[in-house]
Amino acid sequence: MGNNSERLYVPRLARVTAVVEETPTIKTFRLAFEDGPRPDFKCGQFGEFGIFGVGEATFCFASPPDREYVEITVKNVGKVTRAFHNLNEGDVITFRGPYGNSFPYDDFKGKKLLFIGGGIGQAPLRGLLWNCLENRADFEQVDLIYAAREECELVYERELVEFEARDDISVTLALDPVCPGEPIPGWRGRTSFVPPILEEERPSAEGRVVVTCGPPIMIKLVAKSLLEKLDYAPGQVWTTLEMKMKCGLGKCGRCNIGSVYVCKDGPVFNYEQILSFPREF
Amino acid sequence: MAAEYYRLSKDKVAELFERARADYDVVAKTRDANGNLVYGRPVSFDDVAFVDEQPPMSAKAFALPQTETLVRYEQEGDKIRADGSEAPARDVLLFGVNMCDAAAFDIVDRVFKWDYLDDPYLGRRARATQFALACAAVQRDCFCDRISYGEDGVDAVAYELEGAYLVKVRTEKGRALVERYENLFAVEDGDAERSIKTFKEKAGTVKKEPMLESAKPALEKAFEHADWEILASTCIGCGICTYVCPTCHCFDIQDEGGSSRGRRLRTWDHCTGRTFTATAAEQPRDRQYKRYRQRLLHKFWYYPERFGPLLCTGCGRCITYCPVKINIKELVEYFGGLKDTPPGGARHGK
Repeated sequence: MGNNSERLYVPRLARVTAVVEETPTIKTFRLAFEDGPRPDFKCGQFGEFGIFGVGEATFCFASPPDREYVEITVKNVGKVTRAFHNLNEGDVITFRGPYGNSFPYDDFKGKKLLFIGGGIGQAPLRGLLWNCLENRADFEQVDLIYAAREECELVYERELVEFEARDDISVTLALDPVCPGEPIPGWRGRTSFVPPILEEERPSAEGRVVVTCGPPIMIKLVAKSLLEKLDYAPGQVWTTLEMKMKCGLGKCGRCNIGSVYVCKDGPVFNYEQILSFPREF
Repeated sequence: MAAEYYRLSKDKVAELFERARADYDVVAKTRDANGNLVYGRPVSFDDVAFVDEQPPMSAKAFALPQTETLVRYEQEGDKIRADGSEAPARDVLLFGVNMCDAAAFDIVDRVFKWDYLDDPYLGRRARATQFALACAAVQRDCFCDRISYGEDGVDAVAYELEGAYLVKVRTEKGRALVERYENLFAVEDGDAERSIKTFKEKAGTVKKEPMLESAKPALEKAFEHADWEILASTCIGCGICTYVCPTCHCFDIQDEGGSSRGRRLRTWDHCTGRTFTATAAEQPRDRQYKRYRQRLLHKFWYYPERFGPLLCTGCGRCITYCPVKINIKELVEYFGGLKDTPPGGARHGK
């Protein structure tokens, strides 16, 4: 193929133009590229975002591709993400990308879309979800189930409120049950893990595509529910895999699952593909 | 290009070495200050070690250094300047490199040039000529006779005959070397391939069935084999097998310096270590045997599936230097269905 760029590892520089505190541990950063046009990416792709002196980390694009700005949403969990959380407006970050494949948007057209997000896992779905809503006529139905451990861990709260007010998307919010069966005072959504919601609502597999991202355990259990209890074909369930990456270019060997480079062949896969991998994870 | 054959008289080798030093950055086997065999830069021809023995470290660092600068950055006012690494200034001649080390470049090249072209790696590869010296005897722990690469990756290779070397030239780079010093080389007029065959028979390096490539179909079914845990749990995750390996190429990227001035570095890394795939959220390969299994299967299943050749040249270093005596060849034979019994000494669980 030969995807030649002169200096693969030399990053572009971007300036932080806004910081939104989504939750106590999650922030969204809006970025402006001053050295040229902003990267032309597709929903589902990712980049290597970094801070000089600290290092790079892999984040998906959290904003829709047709906006002027680029946004990423970062949970403070490690060395690089902690440094991101210390960034202020005007600070400079490094960027390489966009890398990886993307959601097969055109193949989703005409279908019923069910988005299932969990915690920070809503970030890779956000751009696609907005794109679908902006081209709502392309889709028969758009539903969102979004779950988090606690209310304060829901990201994009302002957008969730907006979605809830719209009549072209149904929204189910859920928090992890602290005490099974007991409602959480003041909480407007449900108190349940995602699989029981699916098994109760039973969204039919016919003409539907499920796009899910969240903690690995949630993705696994959601897929199990859909495939084993709701008769979904593996090819109807899509997710974006998170593996540790360094280069993002199919070189460093870190994200391999079998012969697959998650950074090149993914990060977006359907379950038919995932089930063909060595049962490593 | 079709192979060409020349004869290099042994009494011309010193002149070849000295003249080549004017045109190339010449790397050859030599002894370091502690007497250890290394691929280094001999001060004079007398310092070149003409031995079959492999240096503990392979020649891969001449394409993929243990540590290299990918980016230099510096703050200037409110702007940050970021520059890439510099390409090598001179052509490099790997003079008398072992076949297993020369062949490794051709294998590893495939990952650095598929899709994205890795400019720091390929920049060095473009400047390097592999002039190999074929082993006259099998080396400790090596099993190159069980892997079906031939002279791939070698620009020219010398086979030692009586009083002279038979030099087989395989590539344009190899031809350029010979043409540069053409008065030192005589065109070989005998049956060169027959001489090479005789040489290999005497050296014991003729390929022997079953080749390890044939283990792949069984390895593909052995991922969940219960014996991984028994046979690979002795691995302590030190990573020495990967550092001495000519084909292991996994790397890390780390910053060194502060926010206003420093370097972004590429360093060797290894899949047998605990932190390789660990994220802040989870550790997907949570047991040591799974990390060892990744290394073995990457070499004998995943890599060949994607790129063709095995990610191994059978140099045997990983066996020689493993502190807990894990023998990759025997494990491939066992999990790959070429042998029924697990490696000797290991307790078989069930």
